[in-house]
Order: sequence, then structure tokens, then C-alpha cells
Amino acid sequence: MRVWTAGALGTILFLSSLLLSFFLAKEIRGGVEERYLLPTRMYLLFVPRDLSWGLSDIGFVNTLAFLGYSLERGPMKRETALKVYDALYAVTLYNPRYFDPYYVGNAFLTWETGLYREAIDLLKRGMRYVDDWRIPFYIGFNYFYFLGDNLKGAKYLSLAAKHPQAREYNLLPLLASRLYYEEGKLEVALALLREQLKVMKSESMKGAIRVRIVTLERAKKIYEAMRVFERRFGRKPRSLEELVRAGLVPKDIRDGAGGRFYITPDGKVRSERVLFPIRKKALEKR
Amino acid sequence: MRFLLGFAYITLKENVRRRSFYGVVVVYLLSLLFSRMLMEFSLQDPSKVLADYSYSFLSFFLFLSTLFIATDTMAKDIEKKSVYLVLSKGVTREAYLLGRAFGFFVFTLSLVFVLGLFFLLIVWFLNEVTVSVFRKELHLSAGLFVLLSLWVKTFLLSIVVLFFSTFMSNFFLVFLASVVVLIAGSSIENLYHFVSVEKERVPDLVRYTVTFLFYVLPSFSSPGPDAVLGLQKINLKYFSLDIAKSLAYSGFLLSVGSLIFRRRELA
Repeated sequence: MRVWTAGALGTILFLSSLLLSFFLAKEIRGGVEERYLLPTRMYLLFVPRDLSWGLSDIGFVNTLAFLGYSLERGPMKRETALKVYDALYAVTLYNPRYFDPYYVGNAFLTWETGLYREAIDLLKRGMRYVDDWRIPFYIGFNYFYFLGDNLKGAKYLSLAAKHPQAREYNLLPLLASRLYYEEGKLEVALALLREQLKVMKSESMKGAIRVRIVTLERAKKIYEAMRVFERRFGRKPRSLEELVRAGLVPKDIRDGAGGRFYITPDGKVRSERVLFPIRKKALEKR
Repeated sequence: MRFLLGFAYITLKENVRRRSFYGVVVVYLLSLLFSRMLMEFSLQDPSKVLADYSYSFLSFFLFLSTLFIATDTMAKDIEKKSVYLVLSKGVTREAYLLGRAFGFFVFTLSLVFVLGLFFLLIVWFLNEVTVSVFRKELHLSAGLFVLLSLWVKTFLLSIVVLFFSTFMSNFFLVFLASVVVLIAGSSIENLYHFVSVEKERVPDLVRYTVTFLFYVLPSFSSPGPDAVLGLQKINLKYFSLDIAKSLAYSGFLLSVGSLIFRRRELA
């Protein structure tokens, strides 16, 4: 009889614990709290070194879960987004060669929350540890696209372009050279393209680079002609035709893709097919 | 030497016969399957996630099983009075301790060999079958260095247990003290790195305390999974210094332990 009583009591208690777990699970699903999901630097600081590899990965998965839940409920507040940045920073502090936190950090901190500087900070840490061309590419893109800093953008895009894994992508040197051109660094743009041409293997990819080199070399000639014109006539040329009439550039000068060159009112050399103006997205307000 | 080999043989035999030894191997294999499942959470770096989890599990199981087995071995020796049997054969107390230490040396080697082999095999296999763009190049020689480091660290942990057993007779106390040393020794490298980098933000007292502990505590950190995946080169100078410190620390604990054990009242 005693055995039956103990058995029945045990079963009842076990079933009640299942019921309680059911209510607990409902509570957990009901609210997403940062303190449960986002790892902090201090939390990982006291974790034994060998365990911190796996635990920082779990911290990253928790951060992803938090992001998923939060973004489903609408735009995230800046303070919360900064906590996510701290969590990603903590993960990369103890597991700096794990690529995913940089990947997610770049996507989330820029497009979703406008924390461009923080994203770049995180990525620059990543550049020290992860040998992947995408990290300098993200940094360069963020500088150029979100912060409007073409020179820094070009610098990091060139680093990405020179990475052995990215040698066959002509988009990187093309974009970097374009940004250098926009900042008046024509020689740097040409040097980068010539260097890329030497290391690239794919002939189809090389084609676009050759077109860009020809265009930039001709644009350089036009700029030189503009300086000669200014010295000779004491004013800046108003159009390309003035340079042609002065005999400083040939009449049939074209960009690498056959488009005509022209000079803009602010004195910039552009062309119809290659050096057309970059249409930038209006910078989002932070 | 024959005595040492004999002791090593007995220690290895009695520990390999334990069901818990096979239990550890089986549970580690299950945890490797769990690591495979966790790979799915990665977006761009599944091999890294696999190596991280498998490595953390490896280190966890190695340290935990060494703690349990070494504590239990010493407790049984003293509680079941089998230590008298050895001492009555004319073996000195120092030789007994040295024999046990040598036994643990061989036992931890076998433990690291079995679990480490599974670790390398599973990481290699799952890395090979993963999508080629995410695949990493596995560095076997670095993996062997990492396992060597883990072996020395688990041996050091067994010596910590041996040391506490020389003056504590309670199984639970020996276990607890060893766990405290293990956790402190495993975290101290992170803490020391933190106070070195953040010198200005950390109060002087904390900085000096952490630096002091870094010097006096044994280190239980190992090079980690990044070396196995070729993401980080092993700093041979640091590695050699770390191994040398662990061995010197083991020797120090054995010497002090034998001094204490010589005076211990066993009756």
C-alpha cells in the first residue's frame, strides 16, 4: 500500500512539475529580456578560457534570437541597439576569429539602426583577426555609402580587392578606383587597377579593368590639358570643346567604352559611359 | 623505474576498468553530435562553431573526469586503507606519491588520446562534408600541439587533487578545493589580459591582485580550437613557457605534497 501511495504521490508531483514548466515556458515566450539573452564583457570575463569558445558562440546565438524577436516587434531603440553592439563586441573579444558576429554586426548596426561608427569599430577589430576580404569590403562600403567618406572607403575597398580570395572580383577595384577618382586621387586609382590587372586571371574580369584604365588615363590627359589651358588663357575651360579648339586634346577622345567626355560646371571630368556621376543614397539621419 | 611503471600500470588499469571512463567517452561522443546540431546556428562560419563547441566539450570532459577520477582514486586509497598495503611493502610515502603522480601522468595521456582523437576525427570529417565555401583547412600538427597542452593541463589538475589529498581526508573538500583552483586557473589568463589592456580603467588594487594571482596560480588555458583550424598560429615561445610552467608547478606541488604527506597521521 505504501509503495502505491509513494508512486501516486511521485506521479502527481511529476505531472505538476510538467504543468509548471508549461506555464514557465509561456512566460519566457511572452517577454524578451536583454538580461537573459545578451552576453556582456563581464559575463565572459569570468568564464574559464577553454569554455569561453563554446559559451561565446552560445552568446552569439542568443544575440541573434534577441534580434529576431525585437525586430519582429518594430524598430529598435538606439539604447537597445547599443546593447546589441556591446554583446557582439563581447563575443568578438573572447572569440575574435569567429566571422558571424562581424557579418551580423555589419548588417544590423548599419541598415537597421544607423550605428555606422560602431559597426566600423567592430569590423576593424575583425580585420585584425579574421583573414576574409569581406571585412575590409564592409568597412569601405560603410565609409563610402553611409558616412560619405570616399577616401577612407577607397582605402578599405583597395585592401579588400588585394586580398587573394577576392582577386577575381573586378567590382572591388572598380569601385575603389572610382572613389579615388572622385577624391582627385587619379594616380592612386590607376596604380590600383594596374596592380589588379597583373594578379587577376580571368580574362572576362580583366576586360572591365582595362576599360577603366583607358578611361582614367584619358581623363588624366584632359585634366593635364585643363591645367595647360588655365596657364595659357588665365581662366578655366568651360567645356571640352574649348580644349579641342586649343589643340590640347584630340577631337575624338572617348572613354574606354566609347562614351564622350565632358567637363562639369564644378570642373570635374566625366564621361557618358564610365565616369558618370555616382548617385548616392541620401544619408540616413542617425 | 620498475616501481613507477608498475604504479602507472595499476593506476591506468584501475581507472580504465571504471565504467565512468567509458561513460565519459560515450557522453563526449553524444556532445559531438550535439555540436553538429549547433553548427546549424551559424550563418557563415559553421566549421568554426563546430570546432568551438567540440573543443569546449573536450576540455570540459577532460577536466571533469580527471577531477572525479583522481579525487576518487586518492579517497579510496586512504579510506579503504589500501595505502597501508603499499607502504607495508617498504615503499616510502614520497615514492607512493610519485608513483600515483606517474600513474595519473599515463592515465591523463590515455584520456586525452581517446577523447582528443575523437575530437580531431569528428572536426575533420564534418569540416570535410560542409559546403566548400565555408570549409576550413585543418592543421593536424597544430591539433597535436593543442592536445599536448591539454594533456599537461589535465595532468597538472590531477596533481592539484593529489596535493589536496595529502592533507584533506574528506573527498568532498578535496574536490571542492580542486574545482576552485581549476576555475581560478582557467579564468586568470582572461582577467590578466583584461587588466593589462584596460590599465587606466581598473583600480590599482584589482590590477595588483590579478597580477599576483596570475603569477601564483597554475594556468589551465590551452591554445584553443583556432589553432586547429589554422586561424591562429601557435606562439611556440608562449606555448613552451606555458608547458614548462605547468610542469614546474606540478613538480612544486608534488614536493610540497610529499613533505606534508610524510608528516600526515594516516591512522
